[in-house]
Amino acid sequence: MNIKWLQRFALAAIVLASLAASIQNLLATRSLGSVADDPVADWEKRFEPIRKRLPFERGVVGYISDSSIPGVTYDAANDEGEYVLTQYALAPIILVKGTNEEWNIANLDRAGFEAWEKTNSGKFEVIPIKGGLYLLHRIGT
Amino acid sequence: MIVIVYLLPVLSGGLLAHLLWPDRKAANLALKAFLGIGIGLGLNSLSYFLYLSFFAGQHWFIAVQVLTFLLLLSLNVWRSRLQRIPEARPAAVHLSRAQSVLLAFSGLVFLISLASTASYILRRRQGDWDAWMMFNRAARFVYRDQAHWLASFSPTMDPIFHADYPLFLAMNIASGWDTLATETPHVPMVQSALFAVACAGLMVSALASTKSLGQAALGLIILWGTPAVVNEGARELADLPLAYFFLATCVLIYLYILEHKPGILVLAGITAGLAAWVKNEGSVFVIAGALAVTVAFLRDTPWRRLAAYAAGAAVPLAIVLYFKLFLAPPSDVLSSGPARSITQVLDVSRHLEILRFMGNELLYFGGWSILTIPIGSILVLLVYLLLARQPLGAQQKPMIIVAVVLIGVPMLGAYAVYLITPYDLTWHLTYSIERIVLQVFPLLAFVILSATRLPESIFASK
Repeated sequence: MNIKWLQRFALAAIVLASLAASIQNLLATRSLGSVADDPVADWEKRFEPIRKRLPFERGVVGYISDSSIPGVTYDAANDEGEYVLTQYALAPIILVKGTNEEWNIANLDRAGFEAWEKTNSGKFEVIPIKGGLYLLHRIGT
Repeated sequence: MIVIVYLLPVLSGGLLAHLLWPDRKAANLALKAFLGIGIGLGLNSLSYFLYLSFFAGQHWFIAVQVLTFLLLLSLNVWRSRLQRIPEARPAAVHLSRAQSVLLAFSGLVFLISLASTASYILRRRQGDWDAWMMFNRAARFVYRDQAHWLASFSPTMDPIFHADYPLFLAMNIASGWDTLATETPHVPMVQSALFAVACAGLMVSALASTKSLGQAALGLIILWGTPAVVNEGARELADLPLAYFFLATCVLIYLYILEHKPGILVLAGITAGLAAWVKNEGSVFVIAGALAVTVAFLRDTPWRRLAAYAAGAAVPLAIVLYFKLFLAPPSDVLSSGPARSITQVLDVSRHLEILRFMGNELLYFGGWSILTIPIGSILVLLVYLLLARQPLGAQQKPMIIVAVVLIGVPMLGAYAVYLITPYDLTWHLTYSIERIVLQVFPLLAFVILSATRLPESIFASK
């Protein structure tokens, strides 16, 4: 086989590999979910009541989730993703981790909330929102 | 309405490219049209940043866009009356069989990948992780409380949100929402798709201008047949726009080597400067561009060439510096401190880990496979280069030097960042190495196709 045939073979292989990869890639986009779903928009709707109850539109708000409560099990990737999405949903409010602010958000499952409540009872006015969300207003600030 | 948001900036970008490089060859006009997309969006982003600096809380940025367009149009008309530019007669195109086949395949790959891009964008309407975390988030901070937009760079913000990142994408998104008076996800979607198409168009028109139609078709087949590139173009992230500006700068420096028109080098400075407004890696690239120009023209008055390059880079770079020095919070990448950084640099295992990840990308980058065995697009391209390389002409040698510097310096920059990163090294590499390689992939593919024989000659009967 001379070099020209090798070059032709290589070119044909590139074209076919590219075409096959394009088709596979198009088919793989189906695994990203339905075009009708928008989980980010759903997440924003979940936080809409909190946005409405906060007394300001720009400022700093604390944030805790299951990873903030010692002894509570959580999925690390989901926990981080929810934090990022919450900041995205609440912009231009700045989220900081912890409950040192006057207003704080708790994104906790039942076990997490019960564990948190044991050690923080009386320090906050707790405003329950649907779906494991709580708005915490620090008392005495 | 979404068309209006992008049409004026893109037209303005094309007019600026034509003003600095008044050439009417069909392939070069196409090239300038694709340059216009990136340059136009860059100018729009910088203009909106400056507009906010003086007129935050006011909503007449559309007037700035219209005025910019009219000014550039007038300058082009004035210059064309002053200086007759020879009309390039369109040559009759007779396609060879090899060209027809390659163009047909490239069209097929383009359509399939365009469908992939549309499918991805529609299933990720707000982009992917980094889009929520950085670019679209930053745009929301600016748009939702425009009067107090400077608070977006508060040091209170958790460093994971990278409030120190340059604002190219965010400013375009916020300006689009400002013009439309609504926060629609279509604005970032279209920006992402525009860069995907512009990157492919730039590759095709540059190869058509400097090589042949067959090589241009092969360029499109390689670039848009690489899933890593296609998906990145739909994710609303900054890596493909950055890759676009890397490619544009390389193409323009090569065109300067071929045509010796200073305006082209000014354009190269603009595209390099805009890269610094897209991502932090772009700042390293501006230095790489200056080095490349110096090295390529070392024996032939490099200072004059550097001055043209610097003239183009000056405005975007000045704005990046102003943002970095006076507005942006400190970068998390440099937060390790000198003592810990030195310890990390001296740790041999970190070097080995980085080299292992980079080697893996060399072998597997791109998402190609043969009979379910993954094989990297870069590896395939390098093998093709070995098989089909052609003797380098006097003008191609400096281009190869330019490409080596333009690829080598950013890769060394990335290597240095990995060495001193405050994050877990394996996590950081896993999370980002593919995108670092993606940033230089279109440039690498362009250079390899510039240095290999034409498909027309490979398939010629004699």
